[in-house]
Amino acid sequence: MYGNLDALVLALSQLTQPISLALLIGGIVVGLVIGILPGLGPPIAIALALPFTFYLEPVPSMILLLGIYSAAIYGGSISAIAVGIPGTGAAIATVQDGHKMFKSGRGGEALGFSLTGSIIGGLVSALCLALVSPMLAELAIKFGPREYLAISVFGLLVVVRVAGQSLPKGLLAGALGIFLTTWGLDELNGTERYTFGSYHMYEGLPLVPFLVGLFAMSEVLIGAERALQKIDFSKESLSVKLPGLKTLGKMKDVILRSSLIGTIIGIIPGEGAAVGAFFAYSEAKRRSKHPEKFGTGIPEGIVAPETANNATVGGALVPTLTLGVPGSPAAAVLLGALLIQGLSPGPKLFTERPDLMYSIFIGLFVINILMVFIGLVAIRFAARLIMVPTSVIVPTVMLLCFVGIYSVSNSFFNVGVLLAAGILGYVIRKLGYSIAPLSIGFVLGPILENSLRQSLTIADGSVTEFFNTPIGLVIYAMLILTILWRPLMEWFKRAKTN
Amino acid sequence: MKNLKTLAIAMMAALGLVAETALAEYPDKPITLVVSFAAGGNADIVARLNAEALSKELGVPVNVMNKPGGAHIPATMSVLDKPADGYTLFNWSPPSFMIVPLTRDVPYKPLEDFTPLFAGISASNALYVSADSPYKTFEEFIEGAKSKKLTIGVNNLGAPPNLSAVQLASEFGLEFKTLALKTVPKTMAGLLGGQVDVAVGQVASIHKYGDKVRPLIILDNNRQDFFESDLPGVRTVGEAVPGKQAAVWVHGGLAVKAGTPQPIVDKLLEASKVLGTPEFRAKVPKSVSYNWIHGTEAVTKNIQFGIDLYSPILDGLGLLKK
Repeated sequence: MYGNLDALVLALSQLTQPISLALLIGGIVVGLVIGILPGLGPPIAIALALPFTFYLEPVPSMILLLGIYSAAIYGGSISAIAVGIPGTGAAIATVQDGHKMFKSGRGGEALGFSLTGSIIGGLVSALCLALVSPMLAELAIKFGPREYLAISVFGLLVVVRVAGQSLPKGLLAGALGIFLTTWGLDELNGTERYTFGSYHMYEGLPLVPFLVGLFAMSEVLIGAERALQKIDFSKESLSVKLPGLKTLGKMKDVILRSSLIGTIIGIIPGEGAAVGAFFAYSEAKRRSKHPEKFGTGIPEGIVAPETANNATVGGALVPTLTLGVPGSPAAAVLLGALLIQGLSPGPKLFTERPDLMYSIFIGLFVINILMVFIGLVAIRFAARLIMVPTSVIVPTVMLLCFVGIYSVSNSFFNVGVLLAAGILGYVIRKLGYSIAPLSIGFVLGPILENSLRQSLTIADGSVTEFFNTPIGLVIYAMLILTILWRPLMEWFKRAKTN
Repeated sequence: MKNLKTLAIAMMAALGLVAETALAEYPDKPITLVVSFAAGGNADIVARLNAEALSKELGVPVNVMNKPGGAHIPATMSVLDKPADGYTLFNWSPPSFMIVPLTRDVPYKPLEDFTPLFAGISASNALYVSADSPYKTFEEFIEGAKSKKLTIGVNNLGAPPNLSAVQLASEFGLEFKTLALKTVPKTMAGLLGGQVDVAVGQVASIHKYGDKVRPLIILDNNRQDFFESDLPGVRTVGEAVPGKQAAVWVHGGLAVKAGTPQPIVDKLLEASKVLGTPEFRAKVPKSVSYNWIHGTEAVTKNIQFGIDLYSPILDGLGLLKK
């Protein structure tokens, strides 16, 4: 494929060295813990391990970092399900159904679904990476400003439609999220916007403290209100169950579709695991025979986002390895690790180091399989969290948020943002708005703004040039279809019966 | 009386000795190296390699802390908020020491508030087209750009690649549509994806993209020794069209807060000598150029050269702070 049998043998011999295996397991454990903790996400997890790779060969370094990356994305779902607080941005979409299922006494089952989905998503995307990454790289470079604009508009509207109860409220929350991203320095011409005269605001509202505040702090505040309520649970809910083949067979469409959505979103530089998870969730809901059940605690609502977010890992590696353009913030740190090793990720890497490429492909497979066992141990503990009273969980989570945010940035300003975002999230939820559209607006806002302004530069005043983007037009068409699908189907049904 | 005098001298000597040992003990705790870029980019990687090598020399950990965003100001200020004791190092770069202070009000003056130690990471810009572009030579490109408004890719508005493009446009009387694609790799990818007709990358970018791109010209008349190893046979603007100007100033290195005791500065200067050795250079990735300048005075002079170079170009763009 990319080299010869020698390269494959070399890759296998490097992977089976004791140090590689030890790093594999160590990486997964570290990633899992960091993923579970709110505020610490995959990019931070990888950056923390980066100094260790100075002393390692390229193959063990990549294995360590990939283990951390995969496990951190999966780990976020454990806190999302067991505490109702996403450990990472990737798990935001998992909270709705995951935590509802947990509270209704099906915690062990919910955790099993997220583990299984994550593993399958990771495996499918690793397969895509191994088999068709040069082709996928072609897709990645086709994404210019106009294509980004189309996918951002698509993402925003799709998420707004699925996340809230009412469309106007969802749109308002999404718009608020976008508005808040305009704070800080204008990225293109440096104009100061809403900086309130403080250079701390030049960076704008920092993403991680804002999202952790919005989800974790607001959940903590709401949880504090019901501190005295007792959750009834049965002993059986504590035992972790992985879904059987029959259950998975019923969900095979959701799983396959979510894997592909995650892989593709991962490939597009700048769109990370959170967006992939939301897309998959909304697609699963749209295609479902019972879309109204989404959000009430059903397995599909966990499997779709969890499969997709782990599928973004393999996807994000495609542009990282083949173009030298990171597919996600975590992949950017991974790229740095390769550069430190004296390698130049880009179109030449495949021919220069086929053994490294094989090691990454095979390594990703092994990581996902080992994650089943390590994940099972972790969720056995997580399932028991339901026995811990809210009065213990609330202050613990609060403390973890503060420590997490402060330790990552060493900045009290960011802790202030965490608190302010928490209060904002609390007020918004109390007013009956959903915070998911707000968060997706906040994630996509900068991409939306930049791509719109760059598209206008390219178009140079011409409307036809603005829409002269085949990929973009396909995305816009899909968006229109997504919105009109149900009304159209109903119209057809009525026409038939008449 | 004589005894008292001796005692006083002895006491002063003792105090002096105490002060001496306090300094001699530096460093006795971990050092933080603040990097104003996100983890993973060229600047971050070289900073991490610097940290590792310095840590070996100084015998204490040197921890890299990334503080990206906010026009590099929060990172810069976080160093100035700490005492001038040599335990907080700053990874200075063109934006923090040059472009940002030249274009907006900042709460610091780079050459007054910092003592630079050395410059290592460097870059020179080059003009690239994709391998299947109709423009085979720089001359053909100039012809093409005169007949049609081409789209040029740069990383950020006001950053050195953009300033190179502006200089090229003004020297040859060209007009471009400028697309800021955020990073140099994304700019080069924009070339492969067809979003831009021509891109300003770095001389060393060729190592990532090989035969997928074609270098047209080096946008720096000050020929460096790495030009020939990165882009053999490629001319500079002045070599292609004598009399036309092209200049780049991209340097970066480490600095401490001004007012750091001289013995500590000296110790850091001594320890950082290792970063100019061929052994260290061999560790720096191929896609990063390295141009070693050591010592506060030499680096300050170099930074002043950059300020004098970029002020008129930024003024022409209407960006220079008045």
